[in-house]
Amino acid sequence: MFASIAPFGALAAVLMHRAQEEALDVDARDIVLACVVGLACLTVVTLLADTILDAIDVSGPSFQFAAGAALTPLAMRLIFAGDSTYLPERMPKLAWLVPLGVPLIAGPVAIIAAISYAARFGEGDTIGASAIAVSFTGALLLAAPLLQRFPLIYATTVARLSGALILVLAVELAYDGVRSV
Amino acid sequence: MFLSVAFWAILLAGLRITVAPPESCGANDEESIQRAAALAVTWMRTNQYADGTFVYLYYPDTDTAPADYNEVRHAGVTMALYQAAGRMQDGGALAAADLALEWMKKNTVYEGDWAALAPNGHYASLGASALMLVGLAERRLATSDPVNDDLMHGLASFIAAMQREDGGFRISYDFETDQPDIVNTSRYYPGESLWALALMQEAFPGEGWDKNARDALQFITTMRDEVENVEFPPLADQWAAYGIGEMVEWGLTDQQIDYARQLAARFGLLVRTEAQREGSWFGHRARGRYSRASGVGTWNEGLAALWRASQADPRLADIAEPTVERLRCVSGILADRQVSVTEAKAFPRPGLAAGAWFRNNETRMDDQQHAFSGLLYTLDAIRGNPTREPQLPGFPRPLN
Repeated sequence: MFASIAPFGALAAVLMHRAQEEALDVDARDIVLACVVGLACLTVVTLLADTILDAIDVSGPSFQFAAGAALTPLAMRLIFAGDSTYLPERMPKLAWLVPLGVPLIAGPVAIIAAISYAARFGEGDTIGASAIAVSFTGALLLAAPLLQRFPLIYATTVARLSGALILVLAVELAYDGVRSV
Repeated sequence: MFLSVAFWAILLAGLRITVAPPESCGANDEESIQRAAALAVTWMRTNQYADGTFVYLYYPDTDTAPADYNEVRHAGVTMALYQAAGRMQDGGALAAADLALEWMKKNTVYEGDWAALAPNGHYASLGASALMLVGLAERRLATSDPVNDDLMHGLASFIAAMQREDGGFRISYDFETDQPDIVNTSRYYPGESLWALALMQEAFPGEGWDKNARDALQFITTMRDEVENVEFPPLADQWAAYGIGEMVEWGLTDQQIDYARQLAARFGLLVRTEAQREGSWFGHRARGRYSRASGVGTWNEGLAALWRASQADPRLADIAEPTVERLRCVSGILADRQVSVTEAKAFPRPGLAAGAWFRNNETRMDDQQHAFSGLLYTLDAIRGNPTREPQLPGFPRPLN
């Protein structure tokens, strides 16, 4: 879950946003609300994982294989762009909902991973892992004003490395999907 | 933002079509599976000739049943009928199997303490003798009748004599030249021999057949895929799975347990792929044509055997639940594809169609054999019955 939420990619996206001249600051309240929204989204899809898989008529291992493939674009974005998503210069009024809650925290990859991990490891473990990853991401984003003092390249480098890690995880996820009963 | 949403929509749609199309598992309730199994037995019972052989192939478009035959598949169908006799208390199946056994006995060559099935009088393939032995073991379990014990020992001695030092097997013996084939190998004969030897050990404990079976299992789990150049190991070998299901109570090594898990995963992947063929037109396009029942049935058999192993060894406990899920799925697919009695009326010869599975306008007798055995043992997994052997002290009962 940590890899699919990509905290350092999210941090890099926020730092890049803050570096823009016309950017309005994202305040701490937005970050906290975004984390709540993101975690709520991930919790809901985790709890509904079986229902979702039944609804789309896909078995857990087949979905897991697809999830591995779906992780790849995020990994590529992290590796080549150094962030996990693009944040617009002018944030909308409900920025804590879109784009911060979704898709920055709970992006398509995190949602797909949550469904996949719920089927593989169970709902409790997945929600627990999501909570830890979202909390860590929230802490990083709250620290953005401080981290902004450092060159952006530090954050983007860590994000690129996490992209490489996600690529490995994507392969593992797909491989495990094939090797599951 | 719009571009991002569009990108993900296209990506997910692409994954849906190519990687995870919908899966369909047909009518996979217990009643449908049981009905399909019974109808398959009816096909095997009724499409037998007076000499004990079966209709090997049938093409309804030309209404022809060619005279081709194969003794390995004959032994396999006989085995399935004995399974039906024991587990479904089907006296008609027992009679048909006994008639088929008579054909095999007439085509058995005896030399020293060996017995081997060799219809042409001199060339004995290992697989035919192994499945003949499995059939006899099933008969013994179903009837407690020891009349064929000497023949079982002869067949087992032949199989043991064909075993190499590495646990693998020579695949045939020519009684005219008194030489085994030392060049060719077979993908499935080792698994068939493994299961035959394991059943021999169960029937006659203390005679040492377990040594041969253990050597065979070691060969299969460590060397067979390499010897046979299997591109994507492990080979989906239901015979090996049967052997593991039988031997799990003897104690298996961690490596053998790991192999069993990989084998279950291979069957599971095949079942999921087949379910994707069923689930949508684009799944059918992406995954290609349906597999024939003799293939699908073997996945069913293999998974059921490994489910049984999961009940006996806690190291395999984690595969039990998904295995039952796949078994239900593949059995539902088979039940859906089987020609029903009503549908058979549209065929030139309804008796050759009812209970059969066709692909490309063809059914072969082992389509019914493998599908039946798989369906039968799926019912065990659904019902939570870990015992494969029949529990019928009063059998044989009067013929139906």
